[in-house]
Amino acid sequence: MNNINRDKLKSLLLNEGYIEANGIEMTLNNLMNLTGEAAKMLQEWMETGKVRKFEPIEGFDRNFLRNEMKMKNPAIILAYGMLLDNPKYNALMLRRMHARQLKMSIPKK
Amino acid sequence: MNEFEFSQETSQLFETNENLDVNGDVINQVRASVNPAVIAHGAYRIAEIPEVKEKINEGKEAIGDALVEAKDTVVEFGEKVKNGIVDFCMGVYENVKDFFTESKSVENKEFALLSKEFSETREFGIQECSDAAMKIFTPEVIDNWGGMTNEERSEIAKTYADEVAKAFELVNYSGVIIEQLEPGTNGYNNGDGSIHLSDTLVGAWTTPFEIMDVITHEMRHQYQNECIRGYHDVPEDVRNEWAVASAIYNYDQPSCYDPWGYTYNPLEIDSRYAGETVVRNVTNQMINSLIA
Repeated sequence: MNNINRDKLKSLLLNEGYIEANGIEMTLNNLMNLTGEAAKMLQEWMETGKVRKFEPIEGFDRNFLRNEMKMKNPAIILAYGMLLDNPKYNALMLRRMHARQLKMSIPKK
Repeated sequence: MNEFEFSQETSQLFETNENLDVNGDVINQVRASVNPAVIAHGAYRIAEIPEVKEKINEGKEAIGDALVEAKDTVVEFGEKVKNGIVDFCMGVYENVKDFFTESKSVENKEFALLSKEFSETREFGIQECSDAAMKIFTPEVIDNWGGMTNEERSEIAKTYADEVAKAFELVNYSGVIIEQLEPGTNGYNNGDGSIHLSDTLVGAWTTPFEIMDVITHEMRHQYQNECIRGYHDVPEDVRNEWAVASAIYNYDQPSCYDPWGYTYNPLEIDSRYAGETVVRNVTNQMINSLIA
């Protein structure tokens, strides 16, 4: 767990277009659990509003995640953390997401 | 050769060499002086001196005693090593025998029960889907896939989807809608009973395996939806897990917001397992029938 201010992070996520009713708490948990370089990247984004470039990992870099996969900044940071954590497996998962982008939406009860 | 024979023979040789000396052959004299037989004869003579003989006998006795002691020591050492190995093996056996010979004690019985039910839920309908896939996507169909018309491929896809609906015992299944979807989207399910597939998925450039995977995956989401609504008898913990998962990640494009959450969303994990297991079962059968 990093020492990021959860409340501040939540307000930034809301500004970024995240919706509270759609499970923002879980995404907050995922971000708060980041460590190492990914946690640094998150802190930088919280301070500057920008996500820095990074060297491609298994073919994925910032531009690809942003432009091809339409990821928002916090999602890019999470993807970066995934790629650092387990490059082979998580690149495979991201590639599948990109290839298929399967929509799954369960109607509200 | 006994002592007498040795003495006689070497004496004869010595005499022969002496004869050479008489002939005045210098080279033969030198050879005679290093002749092994002459040396052996000399050594024999020395060994026959009483004092030397006594020392030799003492040495022989000492070597004999040493050999007996060494034998005892080696045997004792071997016994110790053997006993050590036996003790080690018995210790290992004692440590692991319960694991192999007795049923494991379950400290958390609720967890064990959950695991069994969880596995049963995960496997539900997948064998039937695989059987249907093998029946519909025969080697001939797979070989001819690229040469078929879009209508023919669509028809096969719908036939497979009908079988998957039966396998998952769907209550609200209302068919497959093949339509133009945004680029990159192969299909989706919105829980209304129908699954939507991209028209590119039934094009000539996709494979039957992708069709099997996508249809099974999307139909599985329909099954999950019906489980959440209580149409199917699944363990309560699975129902709760799926309900929470659907509430958390209910975006159109969840990976844009949270790729981690999307990837590891229990609904996605379950659907991926279903689709990929069907493909694996089919390829397993195909490959093994080829090499049989």
